[in-house]
Amino acid sequence: MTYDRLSRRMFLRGTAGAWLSIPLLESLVPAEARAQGTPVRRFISIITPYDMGHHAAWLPNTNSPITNLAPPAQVLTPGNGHHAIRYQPLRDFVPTSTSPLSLVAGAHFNPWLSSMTIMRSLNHSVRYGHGAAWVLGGIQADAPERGALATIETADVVLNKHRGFNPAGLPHIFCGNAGYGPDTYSYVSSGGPAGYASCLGEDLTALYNRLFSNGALPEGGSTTSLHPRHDVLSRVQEDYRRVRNSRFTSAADKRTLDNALDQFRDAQASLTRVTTSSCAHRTLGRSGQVWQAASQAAVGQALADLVAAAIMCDAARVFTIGAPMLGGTLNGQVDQHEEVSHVPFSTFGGRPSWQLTAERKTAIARTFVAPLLQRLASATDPSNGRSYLYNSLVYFTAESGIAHGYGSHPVMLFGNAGGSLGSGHYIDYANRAAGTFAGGDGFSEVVGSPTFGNNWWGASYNRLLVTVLQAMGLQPQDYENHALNAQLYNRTDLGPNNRNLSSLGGFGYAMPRDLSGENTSSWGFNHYLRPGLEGQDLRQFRNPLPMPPA
Amino acid sequence: MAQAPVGAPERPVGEAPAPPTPPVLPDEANPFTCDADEAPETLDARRLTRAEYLNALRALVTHGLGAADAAAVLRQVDAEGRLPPEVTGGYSTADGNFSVLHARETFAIADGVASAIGAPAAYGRFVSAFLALGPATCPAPSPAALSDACEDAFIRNLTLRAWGRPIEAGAAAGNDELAAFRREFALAPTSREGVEAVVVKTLLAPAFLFHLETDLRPVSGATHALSSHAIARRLAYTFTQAPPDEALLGLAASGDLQRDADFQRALALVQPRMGAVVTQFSREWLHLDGLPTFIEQNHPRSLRVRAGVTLDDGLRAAMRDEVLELWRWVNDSGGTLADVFTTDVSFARHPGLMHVYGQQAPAPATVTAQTAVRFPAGQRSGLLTRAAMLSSGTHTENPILRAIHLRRDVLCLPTPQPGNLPPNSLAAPLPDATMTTRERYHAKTSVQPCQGCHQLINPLGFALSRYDALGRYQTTELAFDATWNVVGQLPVSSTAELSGPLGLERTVADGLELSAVVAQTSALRSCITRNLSAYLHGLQALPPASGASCERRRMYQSLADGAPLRSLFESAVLDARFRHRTLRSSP
Repeated sequence: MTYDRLSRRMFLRGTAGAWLSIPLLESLVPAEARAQGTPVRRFISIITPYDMGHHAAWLPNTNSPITNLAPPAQVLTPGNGHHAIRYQPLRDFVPTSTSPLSLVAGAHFNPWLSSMTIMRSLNHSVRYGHGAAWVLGGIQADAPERGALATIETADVVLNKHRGFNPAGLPHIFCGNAGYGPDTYSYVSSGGPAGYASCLGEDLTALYNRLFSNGALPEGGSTTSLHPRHDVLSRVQEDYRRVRNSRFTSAADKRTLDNALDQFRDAQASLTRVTTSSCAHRTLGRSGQVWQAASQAAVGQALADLVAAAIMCDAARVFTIGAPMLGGTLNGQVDQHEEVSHVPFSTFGGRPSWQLTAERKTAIARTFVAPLLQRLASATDPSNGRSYLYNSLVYFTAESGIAHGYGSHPVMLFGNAGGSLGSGHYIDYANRAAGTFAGGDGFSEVVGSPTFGNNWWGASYNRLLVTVLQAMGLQPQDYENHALNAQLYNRTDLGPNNRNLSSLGGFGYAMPRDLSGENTSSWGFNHYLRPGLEGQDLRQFRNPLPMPPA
Repeated sequence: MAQAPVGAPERPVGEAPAPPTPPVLPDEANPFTCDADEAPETLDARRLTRAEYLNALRALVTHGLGAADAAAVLRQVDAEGRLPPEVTGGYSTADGNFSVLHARETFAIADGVASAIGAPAAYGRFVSAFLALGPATCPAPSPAALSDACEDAFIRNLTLRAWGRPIEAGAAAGNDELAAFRREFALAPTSREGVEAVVVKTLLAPAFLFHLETDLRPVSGATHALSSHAIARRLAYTFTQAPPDEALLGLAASGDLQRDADFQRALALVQPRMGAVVTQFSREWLHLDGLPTFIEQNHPRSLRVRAGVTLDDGLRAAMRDEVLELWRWVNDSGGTLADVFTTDVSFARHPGLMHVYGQQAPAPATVTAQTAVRFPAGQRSGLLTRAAMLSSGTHTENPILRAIHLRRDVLCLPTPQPGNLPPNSLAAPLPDATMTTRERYHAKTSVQPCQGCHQLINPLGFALSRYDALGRYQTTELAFDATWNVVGQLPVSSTAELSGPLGLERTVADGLELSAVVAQTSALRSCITRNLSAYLHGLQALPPASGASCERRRMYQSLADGAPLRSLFESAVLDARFRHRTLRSSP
């Protein structure tokens, strides 16, 4: 195969179909080429239950504070009174391609480490759960503690309704069932806007029909092209075979060369790229239920295919996949929520419950999230010549980090939102000077294990949503609501950082619980609410999270 | 809290680990023996370390484009950022693993470098630079359309510099590399594309990415003699972390490095650059890249301790680099290991580090015995009293961690790991206006179940009490009340008994006396010998403290004899076994 350098150059300007969607090699693209085209951004949130009890299962390899890691973390100093933040390349935690990144991730995300971000010490200010609404900044529909608070739209809904983000008014895609779908959104229950009231449920056929107009959405072709040095790499592998079989190589040499040969072969496979200038969907599988995705790889991949094709066909730009993906019972015997997640140190089948819940997440990572990432990373978005993953933001999380506590919400992000966000790091937003807390759930105190709780005062979780909204192109005036947190204004009892606040800005509730009826001397207020608020620096509530340079 | 290794049985909370047997220093006699029949190393294939790979890549591109443009190319392809880090927990040389990340990233780098070389501004220069090396068969090259002879010359010259050995040609060797490389020109429509493909293949070849000695001559049984080029390459990577330079390649081509005289000439060629291995080894041995970050900067005690010093990564790097320069200076100036532990020469140039040392003038760019800036008498001496070995990163010095670093890493003495202790066992002791830091740590660790182990640990750290959390010299320390208000000053004691930690009936007054004692211990000699052996051979774990090893015997003896530091490193290569390889055909 020969390669015309001019044609690659032309493609980089967005005028021709060719390869170059590989995140791995994107830094080799000239800067002027990268700037071409306005990216079309997408937001996909995958919110799972059943990980309460061990946020550390999401963190790279360790539950130690990042300052204890070797090599040491780098420090980001945002200034403006913001505490210093520690971060470290995710690659540091994955010495080999098969090394597990974390208990939940396993090694399934290793090919996309440079596109991935893991965050720690993003804390809520009140114990929370259940359902997806909390995670995206809302209040659970039936949450008794919401009291007189208004109901608000969640970040995914705000995004989808924003005509700068979604000019064609494409539908917002919900997948989910009872407890983890749109029924957990207060504004839906209270009569939200049309188009959000119906849950797509779990059926993949229904999802297909909604996305692709029952198959009527026009398709386009796709082409496959090879990296221009694909064939050279084939001949490099021939060189390895020849050396391997030459006279003066030991048995150990041969093993080393065989391994290198395998790795080059795998690397070469990833250099084959599908360039999609339009969409293909009619041959996609669509049988199965969403909840089967975690246990049946074929269903998980079919779901990933549907979401990826919808993105490539520009059939939707916001996906909220809040399904449990698991049955409500573990092996049909015990209630997964109450009898497993809530008792992480109990054992089931001889194994700790917290390990089992983490493994359920790993199954979702393997069968659904990783295939989705693969599809998004390996196809070029014609809007700017970058991969769909680069232009998107995939948020993989759980409903809580530790048994309804407010500490360290699990956050795994993938993609760069069209270049708005960097990636490739484990970022610990812990405020070391402020110290640790038990979790705010009355749970880890009982357990008494410092390694299990290990929550640090850090940054408000809602700032992640501000970060997402701004990364997607929204301005504060698109989502801020001054009146929303009025119950926190002009108070002096919420910690030294939060005295006499006159406004908060930001997104959503800083305290998603009505304080008007609270007796501020009550045990509940002092045990659950005050620590959660005092631990936040609400002066920073409106600001996106500082992130290290890409 | 330190985590137990995965799978390790946990002790019940509160139960102490069994105290170790009181340490007995190795006998003064050389603990290593040499068996005359000891086989040479196997030298099985091992991936280049990050540093070696980057040095080799930089050297090759520099050869073709000059240093400035080579640096620009490597920045453009982000060679340093792309390479996966070595596995932590051991020496970089021990991570010979080649993962798919290595395959992807080395391909991306090779692809980027080849594309940069193929650019109009670079192509002609790069090709001409390598063709200028000869032979005469390509007298008037035209890079735009290379003749067959010039293609051959380019391939031979490029691969020789990249791999450190001539490319194999002809079917007799069983690996006709030249024919495979010629094919790239045959497949490419233009010479430029052929050159780019050859560059990619050269940079991805086993001979570039791996230490792989295949240019051998059978001697007897499994023992094979390395070619002169293989010896030159091994010498160069051992001492300079880079491929052979032109002088060494020339000697390998014209001489026979199996002969002692030629080998000594080769050794003399790499000696001036030996500082590379000295600094890299000391950097990894002492975990200097793992200096604690500065946290708790706004803690009331931190604000008093730092006193105007900006605590940032620049200061950490300066602390690390000062120790690296100390090692390099001792090596280059013909000093001994004892000098590393006792010299009063400062290498501080960073304003923050000068502040820590109370130093008015920076160390000169080139430090000599005459121009050296020296610490005030009695305040500070060698390695153990440098900021890099003392800084805690927190608001308070930590004598326990200082002692453990010295005991475990510098002296290789058994150091028990704390068990599954109750919460806060490992937290710093609370402030007490009546007690020094030493006293507070002593009080915290002199109770059961801590005392059994800490009597073997603490005195080493207590002897360094004259240095605060940043490593500044102190004779008194501030006293803080329970809410961290300063309430006075307390005199600092650095007297320590060494019978517990070192088995020596000896009392030292301070860190200087401790350094002098440590420098003379056989534990230090044994520890550095074992560590250097592990580093040089990429061992996953330290070799045993005694037993048969001609190399380790020479190393240890070099230290015991008080020979210059460079002799320690040279003693690793002086045996004829260094020039041979044991080739095992079965696992």
